Amino acid sequence: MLEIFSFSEENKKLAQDTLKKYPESKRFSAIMPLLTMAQNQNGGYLTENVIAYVADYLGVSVMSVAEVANFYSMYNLKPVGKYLIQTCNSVVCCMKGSDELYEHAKEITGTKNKDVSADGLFSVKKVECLGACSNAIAVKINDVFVEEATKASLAERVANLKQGLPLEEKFIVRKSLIEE
Amino acid sequence: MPKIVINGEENEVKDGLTIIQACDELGIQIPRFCYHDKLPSVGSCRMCMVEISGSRKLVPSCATTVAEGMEIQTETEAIHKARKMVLEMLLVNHPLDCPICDKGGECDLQDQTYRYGLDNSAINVVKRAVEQKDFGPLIDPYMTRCIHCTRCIRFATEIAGVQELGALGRGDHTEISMYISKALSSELSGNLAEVCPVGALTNSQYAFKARPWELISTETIDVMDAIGSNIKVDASTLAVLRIMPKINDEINESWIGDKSRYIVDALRIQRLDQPMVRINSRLSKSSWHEAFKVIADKLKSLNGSQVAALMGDFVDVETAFITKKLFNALKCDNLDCRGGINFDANDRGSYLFNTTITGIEEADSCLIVGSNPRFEAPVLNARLRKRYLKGGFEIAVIGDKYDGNYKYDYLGNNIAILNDILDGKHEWVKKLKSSKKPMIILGQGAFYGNDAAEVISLAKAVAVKYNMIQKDWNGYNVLNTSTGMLSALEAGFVSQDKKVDTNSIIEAMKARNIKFLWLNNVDNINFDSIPQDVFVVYQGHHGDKGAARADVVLSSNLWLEQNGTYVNIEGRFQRAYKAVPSVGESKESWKIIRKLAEYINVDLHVETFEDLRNQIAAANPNFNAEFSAASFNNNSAAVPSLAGEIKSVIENYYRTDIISKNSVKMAECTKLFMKK
Amino acid sequence: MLEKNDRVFNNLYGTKGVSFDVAKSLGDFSNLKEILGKGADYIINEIKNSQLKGRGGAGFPTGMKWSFINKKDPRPKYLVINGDEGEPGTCKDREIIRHEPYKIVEGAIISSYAIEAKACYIYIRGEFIQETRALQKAIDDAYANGLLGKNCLGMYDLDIYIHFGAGAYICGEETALLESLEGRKGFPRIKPPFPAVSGLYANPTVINNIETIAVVPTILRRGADWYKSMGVAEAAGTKLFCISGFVNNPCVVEEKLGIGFKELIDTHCGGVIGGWDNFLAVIPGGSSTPIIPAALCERLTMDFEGMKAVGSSLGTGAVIVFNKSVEILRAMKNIVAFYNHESCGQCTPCREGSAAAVKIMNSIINKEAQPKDVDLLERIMDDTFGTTICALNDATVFAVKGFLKHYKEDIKQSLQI
Repeated sequence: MLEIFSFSEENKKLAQDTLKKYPESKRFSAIMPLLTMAQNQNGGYLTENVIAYVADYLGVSVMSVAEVANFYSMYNLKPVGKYLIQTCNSVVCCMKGSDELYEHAKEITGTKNKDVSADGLFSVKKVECLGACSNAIAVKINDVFVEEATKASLAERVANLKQGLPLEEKFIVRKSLIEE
Repeated sequence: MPKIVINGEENEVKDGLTIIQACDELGIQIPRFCYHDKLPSVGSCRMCMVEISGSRKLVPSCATTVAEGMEIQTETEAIHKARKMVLEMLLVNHPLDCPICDKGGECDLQDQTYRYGLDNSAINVVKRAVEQKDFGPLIDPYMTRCIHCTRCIRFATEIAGVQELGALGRGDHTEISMYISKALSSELSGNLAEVCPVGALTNSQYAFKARPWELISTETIDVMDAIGSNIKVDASTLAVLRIMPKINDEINESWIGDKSRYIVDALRIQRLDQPMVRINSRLSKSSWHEAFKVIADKLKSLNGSQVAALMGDFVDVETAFITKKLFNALKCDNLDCRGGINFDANDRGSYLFNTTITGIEEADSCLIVGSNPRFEAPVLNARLRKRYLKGGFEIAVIGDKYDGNYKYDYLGNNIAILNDILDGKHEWVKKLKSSKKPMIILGQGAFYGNDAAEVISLAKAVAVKYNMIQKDWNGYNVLNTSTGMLSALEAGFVSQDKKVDTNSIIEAMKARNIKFLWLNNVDNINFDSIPQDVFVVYQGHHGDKGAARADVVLSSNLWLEQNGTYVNIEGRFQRAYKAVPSVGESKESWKIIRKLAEYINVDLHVETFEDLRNQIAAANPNFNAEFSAASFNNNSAAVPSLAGEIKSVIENYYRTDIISKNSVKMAECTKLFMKK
Repeated sequence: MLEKNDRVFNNLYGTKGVSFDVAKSLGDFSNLKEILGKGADYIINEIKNSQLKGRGGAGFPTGMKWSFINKKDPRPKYLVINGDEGEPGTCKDREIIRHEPYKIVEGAIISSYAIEAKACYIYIRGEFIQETRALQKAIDDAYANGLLGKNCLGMYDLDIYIHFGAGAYICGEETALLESLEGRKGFPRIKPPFPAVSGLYANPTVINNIETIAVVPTILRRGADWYKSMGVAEAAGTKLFCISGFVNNPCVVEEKLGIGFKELIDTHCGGVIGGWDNFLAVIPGGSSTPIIPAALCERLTMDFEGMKAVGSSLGTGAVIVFNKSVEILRAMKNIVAFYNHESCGQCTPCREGSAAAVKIMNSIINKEAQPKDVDLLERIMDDTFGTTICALNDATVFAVKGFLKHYKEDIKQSLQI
């Protein structure tokens, strides 16, 4: 039996607001924001049903939505854990050891040979440049940056999350040395 | 008309052409993969790059419009280098499985590599493999061979109007796929096999059947609908192996419908391959001599008024003409070919598609009455869609709703709406009035339950009132589905007596006034209403209801097994050519009549096929003349008030006649697509 | 070194707090009405005079770009601001978005006014969702203070909308960004037509980088001559440099164009980890700019000419510093793999060429390759250069050729048995 997806009341309102951003005849423009909303509501990933729902909601073909969902790497097409740990794989972070950090993250979250940890809490994936190169190694957990990540700092975060503590948002701002 | 210089030679070309179009017109070859002259350009394969003045880089000729004074080079060293590079890149991941690929021998990648490419490459990396996909019963995908030209996607979206193919993924991981749906729901999907420049999408019916250089190709005409698509028939010495479209921009452009392509598997199934005579209530094989003798004996015992003849699907002009000649010689005037819709054979303009197929592209509104063009003529429907995509084309439908791949205003399904429109009472009249080149299409459904002459009378009145008839514009059209009927009509295969038609002939049989019935490929009349003592002769190629009822069966050739002339919806005469030999003891259909005439001592003055054609040309000047659309005869009769529901004639596109009913492929499609 | 009072971004690190009031206290919006009052032509000319070049990497003169918009065209015009920062090494827009969002808003108002756009879309990469809250707040504040919406200051109508990307570097290419904004895959468009003629929804459109837009108000406030007075000829004004990699204090900092490379690193970043003796090479403007080995960095200046002299370019100002702990081959492979991963897949040379390059790089790293494969890699780069719709493949070529220029023999050496 296929589960049926539909936007929550809150998201329905949000979707309507989103549509107002674009000229009336340009509903296609809302595909990406709506997919993101749908993914968030659906536990972090998209299924055929969700994609079909978004297409139907916007009155566009399923294929046009599926193409978008398959093109952009932030759309997950397979189930992910409650917390998706994304380690930056691009040149600065990589040279600073993000490969090791990735392996470490896989290990401490128990996702060595699987996509999602047994408790359903974690998934770990490598992503391309997160755009926080001055704060390498950059890691993101869901929408939250973990900057200048080390094995220890990541382990602490993971431990906190396992205990059910909320995901803490904290930026590290690196200033020029001459800035007081 | 910009003047441009190509490879040092000055040429004048049409405005707005791209460089590749200009070169195509001038006969200058430019290799290409993603570019297809009937599809929008994307400029992504980079094979068609040329040099132009003022640009340091090479430019894609498919995406660059010519401009006055542009200097173009198509064969420089830099271009050759770029072509080599593109080919080398495409071959990085293309499997070199040409020996087992159905496209081998007619593959753009193979041909262009041979012509422009390298014979080897130092790039020796593990090739990409792609999971096997399922695109439904008509197309076999081998996506490992895909070169990402996206022609198929553009064909499906633009021409077929189904957004079911897409490129999923990104970069070199992109795969052409379907999403959720499991088969392309289009009546044109078979064209993907030619649209694909490599062997990624292939004709499932032709899989592993032959190599193209072994095939005997014949260019001829399709008869599975009535638009007269031009086709290329590829055959081994005995059997047809595949049917493909032949480009004719005035009719089918580069496409044919799936039924026209995939009935190949039915061409040799359930065939009538020798004459049969009913002996003791059972049909038994006989010789031609015996069969002719039985018929001749029967005819000799009757007078002309006791005899009738009907023409059905797939009949060519020549056969209809000679058959009429034979029966007229017997003083028989009980002839009909119209199967219930009594068109006036003397008014060609009343039953033809006068706007012409290319004319659709000039129209700015179209009123469709009782037709589902998608099922009745998918290629014509593609032309409607093409016009629709250009914008400024209002379509309205009276009749059953259908998914036409374009938006239309649905007006309802009663013929009375046409009266409302005529009286100016209908809302849609506004759009009609503001239209400069309006057209109307009457499908077979428009005639359901009403007298054909009356429906035509009403439609003509609408056409005249709403400016559909102008000096250079004839917007009045009938969309017929049987090329056999149109061909027989042009041969004059109707009675001189306007009261005689298929129905009256059946009534006359019931009243025992007609005792002999000649059928040529007629299988769709009500055989139960024909009294048992009526002597029925069936001339045809597939065994179905008609042959089952017959007292004598005369096995004639299929249209692909003989030469003949067919008339399409526009009234265009096209020659069809023999592509494969006869099956069994079957004979050319005109010759059967010619021979029979000898048995009943009638001299038809036809010794050769040429004689026959000359006689037809003498009787019908259109037969040899260059095509021109029929003229419009204004309506003099009083315009009737009509009412009644309109019903679609074709519910299942894939099974409409004795050939398609015998096709396994068409049965598979029916199962898949025609679920209610 | 840039004087403090010559900075455009005086709250780059958000140390003063981020709010409308703080922004106003630092001068933002102070004489907006007066600036707009001088008219669109004045604004465009002043920006032309300031020699401001696009800060997104390509360095196209901003004023000229604006002047391509035909005001007589009746179609709606759009300003699209490119915040799809994704080139490895680049993290400057992130600081502007989260700490100086009011400058973006004011810049958007002025730029839109100059090109008569009534709607402005800011396309921000999907990863910056946290950061963008500050920008959204700035937009909301502007609406609340009558600076956005209908008939603002009695002079203009403007709406600003944020549109998030979803993880595709190619959408930083302006026409791919437009495709993405229109709800499709990020496939760069064939030019011509250029966006100024047919951009967003086929209407005239100007696309500028976030940094470019954010410096516009200050230039107009303090004058083109002031801005031009900083930097060097051909490279006027200031620029945000994002310094990452193996320096003691990686950071984003605003500096004059033309500043010495070593001065930049020493002053703001406390030098290279392990000292200059431990310095290996620098990628000066984001991963697509050719790498410069230490030997060429002594007198290197951070401007267009200085970079050209050593065969590289300024790009986005993303300075990636490598010390000797970095394996050049791994860095090279990583960059090649990045461009392969981000290739949209439209054009044959980029799609297939970058994939082949990755496979060859892997075989080199695994020592399975032969020295001639290094030449093959170079040939693929040479052959495919300049043959694609957009410049993504050219970026790959620049990067790889940069590495090969200086390290080809070393790489070949590593493959000798």
